[in-house]
Amino acid sequence: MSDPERGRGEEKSSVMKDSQQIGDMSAEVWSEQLFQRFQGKPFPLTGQWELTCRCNLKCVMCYTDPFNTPAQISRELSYEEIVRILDEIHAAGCLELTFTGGEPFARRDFLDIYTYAKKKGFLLTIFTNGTLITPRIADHLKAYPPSMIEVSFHGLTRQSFDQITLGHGSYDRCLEGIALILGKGLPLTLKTVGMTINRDEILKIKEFVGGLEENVQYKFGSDIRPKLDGSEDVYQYQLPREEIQAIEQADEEFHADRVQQERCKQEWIDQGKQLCGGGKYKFHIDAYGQLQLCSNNRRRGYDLRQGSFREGFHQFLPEFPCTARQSGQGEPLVNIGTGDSQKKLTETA
Amino acid sequence: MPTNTPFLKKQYSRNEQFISRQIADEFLLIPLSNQLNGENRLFVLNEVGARIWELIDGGRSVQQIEQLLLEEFDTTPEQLEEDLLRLLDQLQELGAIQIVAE
Repeated sequence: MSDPERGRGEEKSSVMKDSQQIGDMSAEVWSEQLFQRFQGKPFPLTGQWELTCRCNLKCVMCYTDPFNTPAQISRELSYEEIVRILDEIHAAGCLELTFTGGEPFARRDFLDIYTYAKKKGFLLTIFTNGTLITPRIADHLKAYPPSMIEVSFHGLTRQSFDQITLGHGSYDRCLEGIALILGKGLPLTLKTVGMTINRDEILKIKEFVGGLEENVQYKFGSDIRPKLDGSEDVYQYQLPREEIQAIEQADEEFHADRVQQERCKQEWIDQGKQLCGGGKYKFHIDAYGQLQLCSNNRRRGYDLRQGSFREGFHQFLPEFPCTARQSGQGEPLVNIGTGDSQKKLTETA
Repeated sequence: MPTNTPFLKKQYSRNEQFISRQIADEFLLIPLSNQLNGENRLFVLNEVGARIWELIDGGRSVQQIEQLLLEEFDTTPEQLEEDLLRLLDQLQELGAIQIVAE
């Protein structure tokens, strides 16, 4: 029964002396310790997976909406493909995964995917519009709780909310979803994209969130990005920079967050650190199995239908172009990989 | 010689609400219900702790686990028994294992 590979000389005794100790810590602390130990070596600890572009709503600023069509949806990864990739991500060491869309609950197999991942030991976050959450789903999430559920909440009136989502009744359904989440004691964050349509409601939404339950968090963003088909009509909803600054300055917490973010960013720049973790400890997968640096950078992708996650993350992702990577600013697209490997790569303008 | 006979006869099973994972060279126990004041809580076991976790199967007694570990690690029965007692107590306190026979 003895395994000669186990335990080596004096090391064995010292290990035994520590055997009563169980390290009890948050994932955040553990991850930080791991990064420090790895000293910049890429490790895929956290990822975001856009499981589908399907959605029951058609938010005016949504970048995935153009791909919410039957033809595009038919190209999306199947349950079997997702499970295989999940196994590969798990084996590569990923701990935290965010499932997003589109609307993840618009996939009929989403709970199966979610539960499979949960039972593998991933720490899971769900980005959702909240409108498809039913009592059955809430019960299931209670049994297999996520680390966080982030619900998009862009308006405080039926009129503004539905004007943004283009979905009649979406405001009421979202509130019902939020009530179900809170009713189960699940962790919740509401988040708003500031736009011309809801410019006067942002601070009121924050106040509304503050009046929910103590642990409900709130995020405000102003990031509007081109749609996946390249169209830029979304920018008509973008708030001028001065107006965003005015909103942030009108609220003590927003202002403090902004100051803190800017300070951190400057520190990282001063230390020569990469501003984005994409390809370093983060990754993004789109609905078709393309492994990318992040959701905001899809210039290059590695096809997980043809290659392995480990190869894609370690051999290709670090070379993908990224303006947030200090040394990569302004770099032209470069071709990497040859032969079969080249087939796994895609490039978009 | 080991002295804690009642303890050695105990058999433990793992709580399926705890998922074990090896990430990098670390062995983690991750509770399925991982919320604690909004934090994701992890438990990190060292090499021996990880091996003990593997050996807990609801059938082996502590004594059988001890015998296997004595073959695999350079330690004394007394020291090992003390370590086992502490670790199993802690795992039980966390709810990661439960006694199925004693």
